[in-house]
Amino acid sequence: MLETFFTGAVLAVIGIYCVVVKKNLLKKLIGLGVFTNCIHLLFISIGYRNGGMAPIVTPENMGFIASYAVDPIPQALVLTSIVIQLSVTALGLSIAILAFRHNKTLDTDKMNKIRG
Amino acid sequence: MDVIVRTVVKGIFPFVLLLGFSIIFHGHLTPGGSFPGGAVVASGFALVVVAFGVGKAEKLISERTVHIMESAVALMMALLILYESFLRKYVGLTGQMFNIWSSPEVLSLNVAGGVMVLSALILIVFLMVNE
Amino acid sequence: MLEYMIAVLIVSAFLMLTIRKDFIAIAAIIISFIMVAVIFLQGQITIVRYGDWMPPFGIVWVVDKLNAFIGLIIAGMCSLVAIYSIKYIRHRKHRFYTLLCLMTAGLLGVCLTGDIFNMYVFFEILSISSYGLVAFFLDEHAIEGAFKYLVMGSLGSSFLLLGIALIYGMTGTLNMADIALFASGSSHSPYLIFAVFLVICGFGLKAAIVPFHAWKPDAIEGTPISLGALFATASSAIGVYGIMRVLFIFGLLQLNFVLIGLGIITMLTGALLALVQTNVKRMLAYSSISQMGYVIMAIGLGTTAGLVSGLYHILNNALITGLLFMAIGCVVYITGKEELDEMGINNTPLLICIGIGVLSMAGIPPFNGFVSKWLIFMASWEISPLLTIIAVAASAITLAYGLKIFSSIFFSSRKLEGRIPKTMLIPVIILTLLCVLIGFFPQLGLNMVEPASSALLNQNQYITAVLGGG
Repeated sequence: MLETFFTGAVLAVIGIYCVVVKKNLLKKLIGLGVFTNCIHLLFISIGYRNGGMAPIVTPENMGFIASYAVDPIPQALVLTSIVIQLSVTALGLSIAILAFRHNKTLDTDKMNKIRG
Repeated sequence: MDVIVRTVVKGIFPFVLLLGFSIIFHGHLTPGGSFPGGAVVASGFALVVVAFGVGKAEKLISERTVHIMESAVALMMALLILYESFLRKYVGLTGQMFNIWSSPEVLSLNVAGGVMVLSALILIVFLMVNE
Repeated sequence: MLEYMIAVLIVSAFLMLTIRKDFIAIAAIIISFIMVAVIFLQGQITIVRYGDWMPPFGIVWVVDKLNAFIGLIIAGMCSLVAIYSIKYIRHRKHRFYTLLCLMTAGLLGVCLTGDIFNMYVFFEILSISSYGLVAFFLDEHAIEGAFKYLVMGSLGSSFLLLGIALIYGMTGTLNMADIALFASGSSHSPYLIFAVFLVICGFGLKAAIVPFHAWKPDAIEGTPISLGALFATASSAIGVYGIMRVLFIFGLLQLNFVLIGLGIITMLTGALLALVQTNVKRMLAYSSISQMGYVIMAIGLGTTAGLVSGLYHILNNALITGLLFMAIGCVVYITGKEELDEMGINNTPLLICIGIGVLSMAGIPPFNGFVSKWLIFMASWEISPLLTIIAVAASAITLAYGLKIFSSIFFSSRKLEGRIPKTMLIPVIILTLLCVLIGFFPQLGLNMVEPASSALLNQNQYITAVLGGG
């Protein structure tokens, strides 16, 4: 379980680096997606149990699945969160298309028109 | 797109659709349901748009059909939810475990939600490509 | 009755896309305001269980006095904005009303729920519809503001999700009453403080507290002014409500100094940056940032008097900032310009309304701003006199830029004449009358605020109502 936490930390750093440092609009959106997926990974790995199995109920193990299955609640919450991230990404891509139409470039250095 | 991508997409597209619809249909037994199933089917269509261009994808399913599908499914979902909240006390159908045809309410909600998600995502892909 | 409120709002949002008549959306928002007002006047704790599942296993919606108070402010501001926008928005009105209905559904959902992940889902509905609303005019400034808001808001929501994940990992349940039951019986580990701090970061980005405020001036510069009113009052109120709810479940931990420090920096930064602006929308955005600094400092004091004054200032900020945004929207409607040296008009009702708004914002005696600021000064004097001196200095700067707005509108050299439509003038007059009323009879506001603060401080009534009784 420690491996997933280290992977999550590395992904979070990569995601935030892309959002902050890169100058292309599309690369910022990709970095946002990487950061959100890191949070999903951490959320699922919180519900892990050593030597556990997937929480699917079959006729053989109906009586005692709760004692050795991993926690299914974070998995349901992460499914909801993936859908939310999908719609935010779709909206961000539409706004990037509109920004390209106005400025003919995807570079944020040339797009800073608001001052003050 | 070149030959390799077109051949692979031609071979893989029916299986992607099959996987998506299977995730939607088994939503009350295995993990999945309307959202991931709809997303998988829509990504199959996005593969066709990327490999062959919008013209071929329009021949498979036109934009007007997607609009009509989305509105009809939204209406059906609203009727289903009204039925669930008011009439359930009088006409209730119970379900048994591990049987795929056992609880028609959850099954129909999953199918309606899946069709709505896939039509919304295909609409987003069409609107973005048409500039 | 509560469960139909969100259903009515979402159904009318989708109906507006096909049947393009305005009154569907306006009727839906006013119906939800009437429902929230009825629940507020009933005065008991209302619980709705979804699907008849018992509370630790299912989702519940719990409305106690704090929820009803904040819900009343939000639903009132949304219905006033809906009435104001009938004439202010001229093109593509049906899309505006769709997004406004969805935003109202998201705001009311965050306010009324009793389950912590449900709060995150409705918070995301609110965020996504507000990203769409910031980009509504589709010109360059709106698109730039919308992209900045989207990236920063999405990062903030991810921090909120991480905080919720850590809270779930420590307590094992998602119901707020159950978390309160767990937290009252155990010691406070550092992980819990870190998780609550992440949740403060997430909600603080919505409320525009200073390290997280950079999206707000650009976003408010791009949107229509009626939506600027909604962002400055309702979104900030929801952000502060989220911080309050999660903090007081755990009993305020040791985060006093963090909140007081953030509050002081927010007050001073907002006020000082508002002095140097030339665009009136950005000046009002920085002023709303500064008012929220007062609220955060008052909540961080940790005493009952601090909490009462903080909640009272949320109500007053909604009235005053909403009044200023809408009245200056009328001025922009007449002149068509947004820079401060080009707006000059000659109109007596607007002169009275903007004058009352500016005087209330600075805290001059007969109006309602004086009541809440006096309570904040008294509450902070007991903790440390230095806080009161800083708050009074920020009030003085507030008076300075308020007078700058007032003089550049009504004492400039070129004055235009113009007619304002009635549907735009009615919300302004309603807000002005409320300002004067609460200023002359402050007991009306205290009757609303004191039950809310006592409901926040003793959690036992909340816990037994949700878990024990039913």
